[in-house]
Amino acid sequence: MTSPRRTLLKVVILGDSGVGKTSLMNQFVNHRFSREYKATIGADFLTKELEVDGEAITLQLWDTAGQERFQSLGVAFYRGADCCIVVYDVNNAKSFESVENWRSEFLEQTSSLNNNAFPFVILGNQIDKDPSKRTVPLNHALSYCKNQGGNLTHFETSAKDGTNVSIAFESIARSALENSSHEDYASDLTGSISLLNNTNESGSCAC
Amino acid sequence: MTEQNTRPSAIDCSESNVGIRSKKRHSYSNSLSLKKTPSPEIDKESTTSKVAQFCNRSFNAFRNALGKKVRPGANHFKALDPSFMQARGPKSAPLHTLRRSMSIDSTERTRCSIDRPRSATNTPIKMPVSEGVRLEKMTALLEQPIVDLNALRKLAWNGIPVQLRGKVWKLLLGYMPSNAVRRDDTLVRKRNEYNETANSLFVTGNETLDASLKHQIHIDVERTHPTLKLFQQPVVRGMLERILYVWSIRHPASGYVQGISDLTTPFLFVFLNSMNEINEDTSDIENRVSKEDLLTVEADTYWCLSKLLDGIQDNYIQSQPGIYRQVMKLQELTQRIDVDLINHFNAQGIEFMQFSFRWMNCLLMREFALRHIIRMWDTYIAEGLTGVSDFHVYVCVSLLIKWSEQLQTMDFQDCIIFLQSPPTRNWSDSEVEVLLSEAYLWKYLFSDACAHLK
Repeated sequence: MTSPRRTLLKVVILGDSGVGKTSLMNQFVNHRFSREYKATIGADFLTKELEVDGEAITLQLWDTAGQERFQSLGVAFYRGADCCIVVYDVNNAKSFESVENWRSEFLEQTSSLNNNAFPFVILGNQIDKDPSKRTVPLNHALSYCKNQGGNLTHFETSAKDGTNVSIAFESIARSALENSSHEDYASDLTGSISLLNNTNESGSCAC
Repeated sequence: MTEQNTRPSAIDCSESNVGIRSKKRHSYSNSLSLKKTPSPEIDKESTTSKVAQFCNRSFNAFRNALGKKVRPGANHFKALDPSFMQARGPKSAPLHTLRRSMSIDSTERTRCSIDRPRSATNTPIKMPVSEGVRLEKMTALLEQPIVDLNALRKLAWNGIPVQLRGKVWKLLLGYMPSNAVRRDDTLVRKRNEYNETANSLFVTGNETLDASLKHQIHIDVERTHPTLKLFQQPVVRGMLERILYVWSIRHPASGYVQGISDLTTPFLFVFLNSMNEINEDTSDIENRVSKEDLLTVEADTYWCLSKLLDGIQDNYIQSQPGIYRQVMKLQELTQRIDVDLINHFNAQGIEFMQFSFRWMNCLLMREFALRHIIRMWDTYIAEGLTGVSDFHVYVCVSLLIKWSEQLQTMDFQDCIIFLQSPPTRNWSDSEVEVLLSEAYLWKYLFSDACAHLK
């Protein structure tokens, strides 16, 4: 009994102001790059229908504003997310330093039961720029993702020329799908899942 | 001119036009409906008069509805409480009947304005003042040794002629003194004060500036009105950056918040617009305006922006309580005017914060064309201190009510997508006029009611 309905998945995109969140979203959804985007206020909403591993899904994407002042808004947009994207600019070290702040802020506001399992996809954007301008080497980003110990995937992208954008979003969709099906199991089979949760948590919280 | 003589001088306030509690309710709705598609040769003057008559009648309907129930009892606002209405049964004209009757058909391509009575409910409502008459009246007011600001407000509410707008905004915002004797000195002093502050911050070089603030302002100014040539010129961007930087330094409790760059542009545009035919597409501003004049415009923009933001300071301080309050108020008003829409939003899991945060943070600047925002600001500024905090919410609720039936056929996704990019960017001038009139009527009904019920 397969349902003909599309699976709805909610994805939130975070990151410092000006790193290219809106551009990435629009490259993914509309295959377009424009220099005419305005600064996002609050959060913009986009949707994209796609198929992952034979399953028809609709991604509901919340493209949030980068300025710190808007963080108090978070909960209105973060609630119920299946995956979180954090974007930095590979040419702006400060935006990379903020990645962990965005991640912990998100986890705090959603108070997820199992923080280590919640999927984050970290995107280093603007790789189309002159390589001499780069301040965040790929291996720095990779080691950050490895050391965090959570469910972190990393890609480097260019919203301008589209490099890695569809691959990254396919991975995002897959992570969201996995996360949401875990949640489904969790509601059916609470016992087995809570065991799994405990194992994960004990791995990172043994201090 | 003969057309004007045939206009009624006062409005028909008879019960049959109101029909709120009687069987004549339907005839009320009918009497208000205008022809959807006017014939091309329709006389503009008479159409204007029709729409004005319509606005006035619907206004009177509300006034009478209030008048009958309001005075002199203390429980008058029960009449407007949806639960109270429902308790009385469907025949008792619930609020949504009013709502439907009230949506003004704006397909008529005409200007519509009502002369608002300021206080007494029994003030006779005048017919619309035409552009020429308004210009004449306003010019006469501005020539007085001490400008009568209340009279100016009344006239400005319905729109300010483009030639006078800059001056009227400055007067009504309290930047330019109403006393002509003090005017020049005060402006010179204020402009110097701004220029000295800006110079002291910028002349010493970039190293003394707050780098992250400067970066944030810089990337936002680049993205402000990206499709309008005027705002893409380095000289205009430079003005915007300095204004925003100085404002942020002088208002440390709030500092720069994204969206304030948008709010600066109507002032900059209006003050530039009064010089040498500058418009949205001007791309050679340095050839048209002298450096001295640009400095004056920059200082005037700074002070007017400061005055405007003084009324909504808590929209931009930490955690933005002002915006939360406005969003709550929008929700509360919608709840009282249109329960069906609220029920639909609840069923779909739509939160007001998801679509109306930006409406409040940028005063709908992202949703309307710049020239329409400027027209709306005539009214906001005429409304006084609460124009941007209070009247604005009634404009927002008018939008929701206008789209209510449409929204109720949409699911979560379609509702959010619609509300995040509503059709208002392509609206006609008359649709904006009608929106402001509707907002006025809702404000008239509810502005004191909320407090009364608490």
